[in-house]
Amino acid sequence: MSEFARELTDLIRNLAEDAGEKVANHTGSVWAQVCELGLAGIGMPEEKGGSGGSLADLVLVIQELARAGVSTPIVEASTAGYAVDASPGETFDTIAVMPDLDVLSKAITASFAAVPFADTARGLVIATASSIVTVPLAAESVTVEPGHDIADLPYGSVRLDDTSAAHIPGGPAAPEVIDRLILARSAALLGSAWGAYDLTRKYVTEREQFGAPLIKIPAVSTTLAQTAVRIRFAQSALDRATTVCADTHTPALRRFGAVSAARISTATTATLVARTSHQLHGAVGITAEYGLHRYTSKLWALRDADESQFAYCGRLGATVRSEGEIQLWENISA
Amino acid sequence: MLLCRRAPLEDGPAGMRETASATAQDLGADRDAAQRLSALRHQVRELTGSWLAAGRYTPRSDCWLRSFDLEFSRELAARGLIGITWPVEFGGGGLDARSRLVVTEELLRAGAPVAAHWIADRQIGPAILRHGGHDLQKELLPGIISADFIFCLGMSEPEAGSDLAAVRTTAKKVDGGWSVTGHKTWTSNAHRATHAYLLARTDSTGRKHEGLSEFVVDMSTPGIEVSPITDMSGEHHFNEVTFTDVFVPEHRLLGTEGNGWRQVLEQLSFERGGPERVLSTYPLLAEALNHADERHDVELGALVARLATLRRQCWEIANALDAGRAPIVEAASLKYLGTEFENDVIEFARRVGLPTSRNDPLAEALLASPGFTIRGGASDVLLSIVTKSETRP
Repeated sequence: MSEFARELTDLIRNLAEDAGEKVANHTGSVWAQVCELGLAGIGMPEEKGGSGGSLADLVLVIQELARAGVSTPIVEASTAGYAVDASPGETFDTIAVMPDLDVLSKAITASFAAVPFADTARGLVIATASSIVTVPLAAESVTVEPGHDIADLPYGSVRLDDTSAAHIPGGPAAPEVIDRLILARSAALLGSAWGAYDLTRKYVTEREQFGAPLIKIPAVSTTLAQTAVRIRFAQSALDRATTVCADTHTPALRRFGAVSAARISTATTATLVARTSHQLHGAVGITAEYGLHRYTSKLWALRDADESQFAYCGRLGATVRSEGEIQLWENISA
Repeated sequence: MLLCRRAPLEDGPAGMRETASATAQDLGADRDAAQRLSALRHQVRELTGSWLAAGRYTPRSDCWLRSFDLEFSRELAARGLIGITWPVEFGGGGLDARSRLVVTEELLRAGAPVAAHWIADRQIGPAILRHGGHDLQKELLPGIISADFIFCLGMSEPEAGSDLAAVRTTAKKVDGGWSVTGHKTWTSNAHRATHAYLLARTDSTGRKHEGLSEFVVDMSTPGIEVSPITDMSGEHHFNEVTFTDVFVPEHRLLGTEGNGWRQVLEQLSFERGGPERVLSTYPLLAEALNHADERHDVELGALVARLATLRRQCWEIANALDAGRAPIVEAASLKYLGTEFENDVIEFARRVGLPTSRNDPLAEALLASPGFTIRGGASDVLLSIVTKSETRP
C-alpha cells in the first residue's frame, strides 16, 4: 500500500461527510467533486490527463468510496479509461464484456442487457475475448432503455443496430481490460462489505438489550467474529489480485486466477455480510431511514454485476480442470 | 474547505511518482527473491519426486501429523531444510519465514512423511530462539536441525484442553532444577519423541494465567510413562503421558519463570499460522481433480478461490513473522478458515465420486478430519480471539 493510502482515505471520508445525504447521487455533484479532486484519474499518468499514482491507489479509492457509501461510476469510468488509454473526467465511458461478439466487421449489431450508467455515459467500451472497441451511446443507431438495479443504481439495456465501432489500437489487450474490470468490481464489493460491517460493529457494541451491549450475547459475538474473519479474507484476496495485476510481468494465467479469486471471495463475503449485518441490526436495519440498506442492496447488486458470481466460479473451475494440478499450484493459486 | 482538502492531492502526483519508482525497485528485488524461493521449491520437489518414484512413501492427507518417517526427515536435514529460518551459528539456514513457507507448502502438497520433525521445526525451535538462553539454544537447536531430536507437545491435559491456562501439571523447585508431576494428553508422537515441550504450573497462588512456565524435558528421564490412545481411524499417534517426580535440570526452564502464558501465546501463532492448516487434504484435492468434469466447475472454482486466498494469508503471516510481529489474530483467523476449507475439500472429493472404502484416500481424510478444527485451538476459541480484537476500544 502506498504512503498516500491514509491521505486518500481521509480525503474520501471528508468528501462523504460533506456530501451527507447526497452520497447516493451517483452522477450529480458528488461525481463532479470526485473528478475535481482528481480521484477519478488516480492510477493514470498525468500526461494522459490522470492524477498519477499506482493501481493500488486506484483500488483503494474505489474501495473507500464504496465503504463511505458514495455511489459513483468510478469502476466503469476508470476501467473504460484504462481500455482507451485516457483518463476519465466528469464525462466518462462505461464498459461491457461480451467475449464472443464479432467486432471485426465495421458495424456491430448486438444487445447488452444491463450496462451500468448507460443513461449518462458518453460511450460504451466493449471488451470481447480479443478486441476492444468503442461506440458512442448518443449515436442514432444506438437505443438505450433505462432501468435500475437492486440498489436503485441506473443502468441501461443497450441495443446496437448496425452501429459503427472504433477499434482501439495499441492499448492494453482485451484480457487485461477484462481482468481490470473484475479487480475494480471486487474493490467496490469489498468496500460496500466494509461499510455494512462498520455500521454493524458499532451497533452491537453500543446498542443495549437485556441490560448489556448486544456483543455480550455469545451468539452475537460469534456472528460478528465470523463476519470479520471473512471480510479480512476477502481483503487478502483483493490485495493479492492488486499486487498481481500491478506487475506487468505476471503470467496471464496467474492474473486470471488472482482476479477470479478476488471476485469470487468478495461476492461470497458480500452474501454473508448482507445477511449477518441485517440479522445483528434487527428491525431498525430494514428501515428506509437507517443507512444499512444502502450497503446491503449494493452487495446484492454488485455480487452478480457484469456476470454472476457463479459464472466466475464456473470459468475458474473449468480453467483449473483443463490446466491441471501443476498450473493450479504454480500459477492459478500462487 | 474544499481547497484545504484539495491541497494534499495536488501534492499527490509528484510524490506518487516516487512511490511508483520505489515499487519498481522493490519488484526488481522481489524477482531475485522469487528466484531463490523457486530454487527451494524445486529442491523439495526433487526429493519428494524421487522418493515417490522409488515407492518410498505414499502421499496422504494429514501427513504432518500421521506420516512419520525418520529417514525422510533426515534427508531433509541433510539438505538444510529443517531449521531453515534459524541462525547459521546453530546450523540453521539463516533464511526468512517466506523461505520456510515455500518448503512446508511443497511438502504438504506432496503429502510427504514429515511428522517426525514438524513440531520442533514449526514451533519449538522458534520458541527456544525467542526465549531460551544461548546455552540452551546451543544444546537443542543443532539436534533438531539434524532430525536427531524429535519433539512432542506437552500442553493439553485431561482437565485443560481448549482452556489451556487450566493446566494442573506442577513443576516444583528442587535442588539443581525442578520436579514435574502431572498428566498430559493428546500428545501426538510422544511414543517416538526424544524430547517434550512442557507447560507446567510453577506457582498456584495467583490467577490461572499466572504462574505458568515452559520447560524442555528429556523423554528418557525416569518417571515418564507413555500410554497409547488409538484414534477413531485405528491409528496410534495420540498418547497420554504421565509425569511422576520427573527431574528437569535448572537450565531446561524456557524463558522466564511464571511468564509461560505470554510465551505460549506467541508459540501458538507459529502453531496456527502455517499452511498445514490449509493443505492437510490437498493430496485429496489433487486426486479429485483427475475425476472432476464440467458438472463440478462451479464448486471447483469456488474452492480454488479459497485455496488461493488462504495461501496468500499464509504468505501475509510469514511476512508478519519476518517483520518481527507475532500475528496472533491473523493466525487464529487463518486456522479457522483454513480447516473449514480442508473439510470442504473432502466434500468435493465425495461430489466427484471418489471411492470411500475404509483404506481409500477419501476415507483416510474423513477419519482424520474431526481433529482439524479442534487441535491447535478449537474453532470456537479462535473466534473468541477475533471478537476480542474486533471489539477492543
